[in-house]
Amino acid sequence: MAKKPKLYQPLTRTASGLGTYSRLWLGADHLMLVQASGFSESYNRFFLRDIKGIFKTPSNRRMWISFLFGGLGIAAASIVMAAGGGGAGAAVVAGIVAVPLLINQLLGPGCNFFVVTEVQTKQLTAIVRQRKADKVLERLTPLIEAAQADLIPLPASEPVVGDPVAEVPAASEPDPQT
Amino acid sequence: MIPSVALSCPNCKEKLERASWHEAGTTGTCRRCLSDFDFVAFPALTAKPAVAKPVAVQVTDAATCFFHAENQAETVCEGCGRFLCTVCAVPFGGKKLCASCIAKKKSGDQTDLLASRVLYGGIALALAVVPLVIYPFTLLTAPMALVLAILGWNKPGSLVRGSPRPRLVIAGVIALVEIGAWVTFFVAMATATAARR
Repeated sequence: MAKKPKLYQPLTRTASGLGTYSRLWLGADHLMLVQASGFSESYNRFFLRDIKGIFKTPSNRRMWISFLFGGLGIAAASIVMAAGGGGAGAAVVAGIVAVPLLINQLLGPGCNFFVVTEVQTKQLTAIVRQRKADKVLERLTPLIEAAQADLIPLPASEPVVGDPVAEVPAASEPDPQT
Repeated sequence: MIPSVALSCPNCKEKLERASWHEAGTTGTCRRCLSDFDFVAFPALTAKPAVAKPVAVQVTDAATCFFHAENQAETVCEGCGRFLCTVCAVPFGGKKLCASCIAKKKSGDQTDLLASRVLYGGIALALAVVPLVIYPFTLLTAPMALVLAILGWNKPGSLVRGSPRPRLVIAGVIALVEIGAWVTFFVAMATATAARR
């Protein structure tokens, strides 16, 4: 029996949040953000043709994860030492905790990634690191531009916000003397 | 160039004024929440799709739109075969469909419009495994996991992860082992009680 063709390709690995897991998938003409709790999944689709822009903002994810693992490591090492494990035991525990700390640092700075459409600006929670955001953007940009190739640009005469406006001399008031 | 379209800060939703943007127009700082941002613009930001203008019927015996008798039919719905004018023909999933067919897709189990799905495999596995932490609960949850493993066998799985059957099989096996353990326990208790008498 022929295998069913895969409808979606993964763009990111699974990113974990508070009780949920997010992953970004690429379909034929749209992106799909899948958010799962283990018991159910929800799907948010963004058609490439509708994407007006993408915002990236820095986040403190790397810092908070460092604090978390650092605190856990200190607590665990203290418990081991208090239980008579000595310096060697504490060092082993610290070494175990150092691994995820190192991975966290190597993954790079965190970021938030937002897709802007006509009706919403939605955060793609599956993208949490700057490096991954850049890779996804590099992959998506040509696809989005190709999907939007037939859109009609607004005419150049449309006013552009922020352009310096030529000062129009105020209409001179008639001289009351004349 | 600074985008000409009004945008809002993704963090605080405040409108981004011109002063929020740096010179190049691709980065900026929100004046309200002071968060930095990068912005990548696409053609859709300052463009619009071509407006589909219907063509009025020119000749009396020309094919007309099923929904608009005054408009000339331009295409055929790939769902139901009805003639459609340019307004009624909606491009969807690579096909041209009429509004009725799209509505039918929504009420059916078509994956194109699916917004969420229950993961029976995940629920059955959780019911089988998690209560092991406080094992007396497995007296209730093991049969529930087994029933769910059977009921969920033909249910659709995740759109992206495929069939739930591997998880249902694991959940079913674990549930059977738990049920077997409880049956053994109760039989042993009954035998011991009978022997004491």
